[in-house]
Amino acid sequence: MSDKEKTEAEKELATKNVRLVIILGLIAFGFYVGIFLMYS
Amino acid sequence: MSYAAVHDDHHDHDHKPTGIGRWLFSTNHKDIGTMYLVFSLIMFFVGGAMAMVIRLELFQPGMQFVDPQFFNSMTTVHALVMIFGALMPAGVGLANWMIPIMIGAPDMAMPRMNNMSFWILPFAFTLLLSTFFMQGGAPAGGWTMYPPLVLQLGDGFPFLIFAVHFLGISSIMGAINIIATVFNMRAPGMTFMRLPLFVWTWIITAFLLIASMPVLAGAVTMLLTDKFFGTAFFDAAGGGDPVLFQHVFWFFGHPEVYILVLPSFGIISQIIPTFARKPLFGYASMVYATASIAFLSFFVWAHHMFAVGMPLTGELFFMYATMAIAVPTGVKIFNWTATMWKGSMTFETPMLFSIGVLFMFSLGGFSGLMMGITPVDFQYHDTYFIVAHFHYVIVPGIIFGVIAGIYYWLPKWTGVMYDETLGKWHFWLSTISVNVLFFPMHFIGLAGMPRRIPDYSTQFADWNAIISIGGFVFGFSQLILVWVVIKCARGDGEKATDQVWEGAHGLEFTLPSPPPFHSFTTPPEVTDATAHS
Repeated sequence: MSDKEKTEAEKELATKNVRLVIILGLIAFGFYVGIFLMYS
Repeated sequence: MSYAAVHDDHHDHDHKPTGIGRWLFSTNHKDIGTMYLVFSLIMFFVGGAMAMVIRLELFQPGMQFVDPQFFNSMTTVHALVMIFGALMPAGVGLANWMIPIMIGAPDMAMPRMNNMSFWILPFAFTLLLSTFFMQGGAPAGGWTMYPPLVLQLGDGFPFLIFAVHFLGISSIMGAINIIATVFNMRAPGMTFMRLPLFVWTWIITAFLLIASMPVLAGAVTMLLTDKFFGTAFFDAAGGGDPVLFQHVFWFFGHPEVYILVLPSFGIISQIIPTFARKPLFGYASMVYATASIAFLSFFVWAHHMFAVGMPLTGELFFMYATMAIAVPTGVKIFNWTATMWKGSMTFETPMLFSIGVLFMFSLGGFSGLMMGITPVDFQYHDTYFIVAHFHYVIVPGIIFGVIAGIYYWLPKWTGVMYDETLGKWHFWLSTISVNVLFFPMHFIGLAGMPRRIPDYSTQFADWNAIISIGGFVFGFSQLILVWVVIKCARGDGEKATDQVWEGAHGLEFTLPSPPPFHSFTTPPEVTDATAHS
């Protein structure tokens, strides 16, 4: 489905999903870097 | 909109891609779930073949078939393949298939990321298994990759490290996807306390993955820099500490046990109420117990390494924390038993495997409590008693749970009932052989037989022969499962109804069997009547 065919609700849901994925991804990456920095 | 109307809508738009592209570029949660499950089954047999080599060599004392280095590679890669290639993908595969249709979502939140999470796996295992053909051979220092031993690995070392990184990335992406799906894409009325237990266990598992996998990735990155970039994180000569690796590894490693076992708990929490024809006893306490187990799992890691020596306060802390985990686990065992109590029970194959989990996981749990007692652990450490313990947790505790889930949902996936006679043969052969395989390991472990050795004293010969026979029977029994799955996939069997099982509840059982390629494109309204709880 192209972006033009998406309803407002679908676009809003996609934004919410991407936002949550980025937050959780940053948390995971933070743990990775954190463990490395803690023992550096 | 009624469910019947929703179904009509699905059939109108049930266009499937065709050819190899359907699988390579799939963004459909059912197809990706199927690929995860097939990959897991293949890895189960690859890891199982390595277990057969181990048991063949240990059938008699003395060196018969393989050299010690290859034997060590077998024990190491068997564990890596089973944990990261068979068990974790099986859990993610079931999550992919079932979570969207259990919560009334049309698909996973990030379907393209879902595709990538899966296709990383074959790539990572190609890296790992290719080490068998390299100078220095495959990893042989144990799946725990302890330095300095692991640093002695030859050309395969960076391949091992990159494989672990890729497996971690795949798991984290899968976990994030599951959280986003459950948090943002539940159908109207599907509140958190109406979620099926399988979904709850997966949310908690996903958070465990996000918190623990990066720690493993950090630890193995430090190994990589120690080997190639002159750092000394784990090198005592450079001011580092090899024991630090053990702490960091087990900070990942113990939650990993619950990453593997919680989805199995979720599966049997779906199955037992169905075949007891009663709602799950203590739904809320099951959710809180699962969360408690996950929380406590971050405070027990050093019980894996009492023998390295640590201050008495540390030993006491980790001993009591380990004991504490038995409390929420006991709550779950009690609730499953109470669900069956005075239920109108029948014993189809999924229920048999679930009861198997209940009994035999408890056995593994009890031996875990024994080795959680610090002074006693010094006796058990690095013996076959440990091998018996964790195999009771993993094989009848986790693999039986996954198998129960496969039998339970296979008619829903394929639209065909599996062969119940073959299922029962599979259960009884597996249950008898798994106990012949692992129970005597308690005896030889207590008698002092060390783990990870290709040869042993003649005093252990009889039990080892019996264990090996159990192993071969268990391994070959699993071919029954393959045959059952192939028969269903070919449509060979009685047509399954939409509800499949008389006592089944939940949104997934309101869909046709098999469900349409695109399901719940219009979200259903969830009420108490259609929710699991």
